[in-house]
Amino acid sequence: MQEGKVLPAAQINRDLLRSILETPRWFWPVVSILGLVVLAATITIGIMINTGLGITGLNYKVVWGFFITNFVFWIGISHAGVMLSAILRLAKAEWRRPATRAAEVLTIFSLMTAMIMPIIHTGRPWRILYWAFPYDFARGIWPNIRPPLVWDPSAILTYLTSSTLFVLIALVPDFAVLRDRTTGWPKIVYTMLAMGWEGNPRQWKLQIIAGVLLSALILPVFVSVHSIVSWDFGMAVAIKSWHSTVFAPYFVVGAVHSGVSAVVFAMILLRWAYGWQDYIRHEHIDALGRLLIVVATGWFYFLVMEIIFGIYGLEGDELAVRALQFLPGEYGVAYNVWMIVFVGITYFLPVILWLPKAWRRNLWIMSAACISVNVGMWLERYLLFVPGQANKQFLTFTWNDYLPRWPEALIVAATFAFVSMLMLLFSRVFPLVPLYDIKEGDILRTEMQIGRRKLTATFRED
Amino acid sequence: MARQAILGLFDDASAAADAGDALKSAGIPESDYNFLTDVPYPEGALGEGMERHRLWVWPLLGGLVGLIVSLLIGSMSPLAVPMTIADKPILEMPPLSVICYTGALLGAILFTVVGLVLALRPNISNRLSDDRISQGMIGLLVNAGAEQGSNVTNILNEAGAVDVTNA
Repeated sequence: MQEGKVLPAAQINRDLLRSILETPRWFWPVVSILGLVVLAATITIGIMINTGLGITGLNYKVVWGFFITNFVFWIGISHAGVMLSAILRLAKAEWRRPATRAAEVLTIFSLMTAMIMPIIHTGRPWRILYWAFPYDFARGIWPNIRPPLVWDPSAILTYLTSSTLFVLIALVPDFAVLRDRTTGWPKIVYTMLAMGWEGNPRQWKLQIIAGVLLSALILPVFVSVHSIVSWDFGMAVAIKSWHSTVFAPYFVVGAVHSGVSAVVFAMILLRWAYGWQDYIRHEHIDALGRLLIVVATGWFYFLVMEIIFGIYGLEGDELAVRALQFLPGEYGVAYNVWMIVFVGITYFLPVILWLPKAWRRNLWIMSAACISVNVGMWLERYLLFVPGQANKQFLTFTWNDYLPRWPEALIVAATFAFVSMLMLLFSRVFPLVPLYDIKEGDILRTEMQIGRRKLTATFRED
Repeated sequence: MARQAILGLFDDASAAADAGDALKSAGIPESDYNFLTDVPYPEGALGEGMERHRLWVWPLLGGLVGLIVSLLIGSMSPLAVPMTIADKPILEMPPLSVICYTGALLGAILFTVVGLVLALRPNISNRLSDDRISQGMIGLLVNAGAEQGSNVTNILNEAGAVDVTNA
């Protein structure tokens, strides 16, 4: 049964456009603080490029540390957009309506943030051009398409382009509403973006069909992106614990797990910040909580499979990495303790919190569970990548463990500030909850009397 | 002959649909009037004819173009700069298939958006509109000949229009 009341369209406009037409008092101070953190990280990146990666904790043995962990983490978060928007749109799930836009926008900003990580990780970012793009025809320099490190930018750029277009197409009707409510240069910009939208049946039909086509086309991109990211590791024969065939689905499901959790947390924050209690309702958070139990359990299955596949072959190097992960630390770093913490906060704690209906409807508990998942998923990537590199191998004459230093910690922290700042700035110029989607849900809604109960139901056209 | 735009506003979908039927009965062709709404009503709910489209052609075309381009880039680049790594062949199918898969999807998505923009026929010039449409009212915009103006206004009013404005 659906909750909440049917609201007049004028009120929906007023409530959901408030973030654009009025500036809350907290807005600029919060954006400024986030901006300062991003500025500090930008300066640090400048210092790092100038002096070299030696100022980080990366070393001869462990070359992929915080930056690559953070890259995979943000790619994972980006999977929420398509998961929620495309799948639920194709399935015509009613409760998708308030969540889709925020999820899609989170996808775009997460992808942008993720892409920064490997670029700065190279130490000489300009060289990325030589590796990834077939641009220098005169000198006959072409990228080598055989390693997954080149598939990565092609898949991520495809995903970023698709997601951006997906959001823009879905925004067109809302641009038209803004066009009619603004003056001066904002009106000019919204008029251009609205592309002459007037809301006639032909335009609506094309817009809906384009949405369905794009949803269907983005889904294979969504699956391929994190599969390819997993192959960055899975195809590295030299690092034993990475050479796993189960990585692609394991990464994709893990990405959905962390991404949907991030969307839930973002929705709770938006509800609180902009007073959208009538739009982001407990029933929506409840439905996402139920979905997360299934996704989390799927992820846990792949986690166990990944470990079992690693141990089952009884290869010496592979067993050594597993020993490093699960037994007391050889180099003084207690990976085994972190492994217990990671599994606990990524699966057991949140799933226990999501099981009772009353807890799924408690926004504090849901926030805590979703933050817990994301801290855990960040740790997961770290524990997947670093022990494999730190493990002592045959004929390796030097080996080290990895301890991140302040530049990495600051840059990683700043990525969270960066995404939050971009989300806030987006909410200042574009509606983060789709107006027409909410209104459509309301006009299709009706009340039904079944026996002695009166239920709210929504019509769905086949 | 001069034509004028007349906009009727309705607060009920059935009344708007009745007005559309009355216009049709009065001999005004369907191409001369349009319903304007702030939500996608189920097709035919306002009595309008079924819209035909060929949007699905664009992703097919785009997918094909994307596939061909990525096949060319993916095969020409290793052949142009051959790099021998271990015993691996210069031109390998698995990497090529990954590049082609991504390229085909990118092409399909780009062409879908291009197809949509072309089909929407963007026109940002000022048209007769009313802010009340974005507040839930249904607009019926009629592009009538000058001699039909008063007749159209009457039809809209009789069908229950809340307001009727002329350009």
